[in-house]
Amino acid sequence: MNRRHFLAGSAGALAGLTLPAALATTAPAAATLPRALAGQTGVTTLNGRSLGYRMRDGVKEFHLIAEPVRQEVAPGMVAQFWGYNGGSPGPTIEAVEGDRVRIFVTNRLPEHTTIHWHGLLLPAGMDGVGGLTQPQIKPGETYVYEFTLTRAGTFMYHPHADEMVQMAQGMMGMFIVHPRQKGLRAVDRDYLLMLASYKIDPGTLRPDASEMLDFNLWTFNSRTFPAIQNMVARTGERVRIRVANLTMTNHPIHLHGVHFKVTGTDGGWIPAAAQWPEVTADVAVGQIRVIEFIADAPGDWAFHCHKSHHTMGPMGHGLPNLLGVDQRAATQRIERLFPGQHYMAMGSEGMAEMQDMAAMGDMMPLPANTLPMMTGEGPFGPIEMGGMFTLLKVRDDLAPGDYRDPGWYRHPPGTVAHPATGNDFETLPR
Amino acid sequence: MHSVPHPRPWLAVWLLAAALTPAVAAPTWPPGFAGRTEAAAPAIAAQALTLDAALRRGLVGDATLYPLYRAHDIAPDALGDALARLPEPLVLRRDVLGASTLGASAAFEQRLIDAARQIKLDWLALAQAEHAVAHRRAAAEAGRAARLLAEAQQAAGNLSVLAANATLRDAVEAEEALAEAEIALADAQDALAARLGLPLGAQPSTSGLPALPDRPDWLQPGAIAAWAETHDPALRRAEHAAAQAAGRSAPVTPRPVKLPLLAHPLAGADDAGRLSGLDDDWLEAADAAQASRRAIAGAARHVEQSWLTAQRMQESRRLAAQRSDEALKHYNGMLLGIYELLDAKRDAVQAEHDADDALGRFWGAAFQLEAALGGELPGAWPVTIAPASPSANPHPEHAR
Ligand SMILES: [Cu+2]
Repeated sequence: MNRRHFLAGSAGALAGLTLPAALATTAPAAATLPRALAGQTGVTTLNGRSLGYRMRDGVKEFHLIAEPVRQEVAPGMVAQFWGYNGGSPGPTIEAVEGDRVRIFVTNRLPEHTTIHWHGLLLPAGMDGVGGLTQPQIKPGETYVYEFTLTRAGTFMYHPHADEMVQMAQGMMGMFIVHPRQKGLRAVDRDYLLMLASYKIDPGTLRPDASEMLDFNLWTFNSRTFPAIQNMVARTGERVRIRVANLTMTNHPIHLHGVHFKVTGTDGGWIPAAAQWPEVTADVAVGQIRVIEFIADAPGDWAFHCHKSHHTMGPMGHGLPNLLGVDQRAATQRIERLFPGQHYMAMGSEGMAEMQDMAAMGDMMPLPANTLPMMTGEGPFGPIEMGGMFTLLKVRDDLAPGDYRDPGWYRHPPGTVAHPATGNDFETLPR
Repeated sequence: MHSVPHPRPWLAVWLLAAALTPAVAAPTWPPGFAGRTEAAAPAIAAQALTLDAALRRGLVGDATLYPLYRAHDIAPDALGDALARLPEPLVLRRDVLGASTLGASAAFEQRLIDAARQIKLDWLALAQAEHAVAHRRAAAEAGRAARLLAEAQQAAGNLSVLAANATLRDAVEAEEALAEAEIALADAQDALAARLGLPLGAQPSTSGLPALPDRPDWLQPGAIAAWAETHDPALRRAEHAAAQAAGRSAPVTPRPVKLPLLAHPLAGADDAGRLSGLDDDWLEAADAAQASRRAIAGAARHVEQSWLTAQRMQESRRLAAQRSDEALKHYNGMLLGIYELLDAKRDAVQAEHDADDALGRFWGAAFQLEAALGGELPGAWPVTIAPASPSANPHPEHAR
């Protein structure tokens, strides 16, 4: 049997199949609304939140708790991460240039840890490199870090103790320092996300820390499409997206529908004269790229890593190349080898059929706790993505400060590609 | 079996049958001795034989037993009638031989015990050969599928000669393994046909390997040895002979031995030496009893060990089937390639083969023990419902 015959013969069964909500519609809306600081628009951490604080003696006090975290990557898969304060990545720390911050770090992991404040300029003894600038924080201990934020910018935090294991388990977060001067570098929407990759074998929960290169989950904030929150903007608004990379490879991050400029890195802001227009910004390992643009065209625009396998769910590597291969004779025999089970030949015409496979659920079961290679339903059909992919939704009628998902874009008449009819295109030069 | 009133109508039927089916060998045994036994052969050959049916048939159809039967005035036809009245399962000692009469019938008894064991072992060999063919056929089928895919990949320009080579060669080897299993099956059919007195060219089949029974209480070498002391006829016979010989023997007074032995004149066999009062039967019986105990102990150990092995191999088969099922799920998600899926399937088939092989070795050991114990075991095998092998029933899932 091939996929088409299967689909034709299973129409009744498929009709009764309900898709998970996140597949059927779009990704969840903002978990918390951004909070303005010093007159600046607060950041929106996709699928995340900013960390609360208290003021004591003029110092902003924060508390990070390093701990195991069980969290959904996308519907159908849960991962056993290590993170901070119940999430991976941990909550975003937001403060203002010139603030004095005091950050308590409690270790609830089974091994020691530290926190390094990536990109922040601070006393060497606050830099968080285990063994070098401080003793490691043992399980059960709480350490305190205290320093003054001398410069505005986009930074990260992550362990500098058993780093390979702890970052592979999902321990990371972002640290945003807003400019003190009101209106400086102001934007209307300020999104942020961390690029993280994991190797979690199908049928398992925990990221494999011994994996160096061959990851199978490519995530924004430890989620994959379609579970990654959409970004929204009102037409004409200025939008900033801060992208930090703690994976083991570079990611050319691509945004449809606008020309953006890279306005900052984890080393600070880039002078306007040194910025140039881009549609793809490569974010290397251990780097942050901040992009800004005017959302001047309404629509649903794709935002994704341009490495095409990074916009896929888990798939086997080294699969036999079956493109263009007539599998019919072999399939007849293989079906006999799996009586009572559903075997389907795949790959002869491409891999787009994987989206159908994912929808077949019970008939074509996947291993426990894993994600389909491609998924997501759009208004015109399967989106065939997974991994590092989400949308920027630009709308004319979105109210300022409204972060709710506006649904699918309604295209003006005559502005959607359609099957060609009634034109002698066959006679065009080739 | 139906009784035949007198020979003439039987002869007419036989002549007609012989005329219509020249391929069937003409009966060579006279009516009343083994004529009906022989006439029933084609019908026997046409059914899937259970172990019990094979034993009943073998005891009357095995022509090498006929001189023995003639000597003891037992007609195979009449024995067949008597056996047909007994319920299943037929137990040689309990149902056929009965309690041992010491001495005179020992040779007759042993001959039937050996014959029954051989019938069971030949039946078992055929059952195993049938399973082996089913497994090798599935493996060859997987090999053909892989070969067809590799060839289609080559035709599409996707696979080099070098990369395809191993797959093509595996397929050839799987075909060869199937051919060998088919030859072994034909040999096993011939052997059982001869043992059951079936016509040349008969292709008997079996009802399949019995499942592994639960472990009975008596399946411990110590318990079996203890049971044998009171139940095994050979052992009792040897003990009895030794006791009688002891009664006949005069007390002996050994003389001192001088070493080296050959440096001194040895007493001749005809000399009435000091040990001549020790009865020959005593010496032989004591030796026979020890040999019998040793044989029982060895057979009991083999049954126990092969039961444990068969159980482990069943677990191995279950795990291999699980691997194949999981591999299919991974294949569904394009997490695993088709060749790896087929490898997992072949591994599962091989594990089935190995499990059935171990199961066959267990039953073979059980049949050896039964013979060593004089034609019966210390107890019955607990009944198990599960089929021995999924591959013997190629599409069990469809039955659900
Ligand atoms: Cu990427």
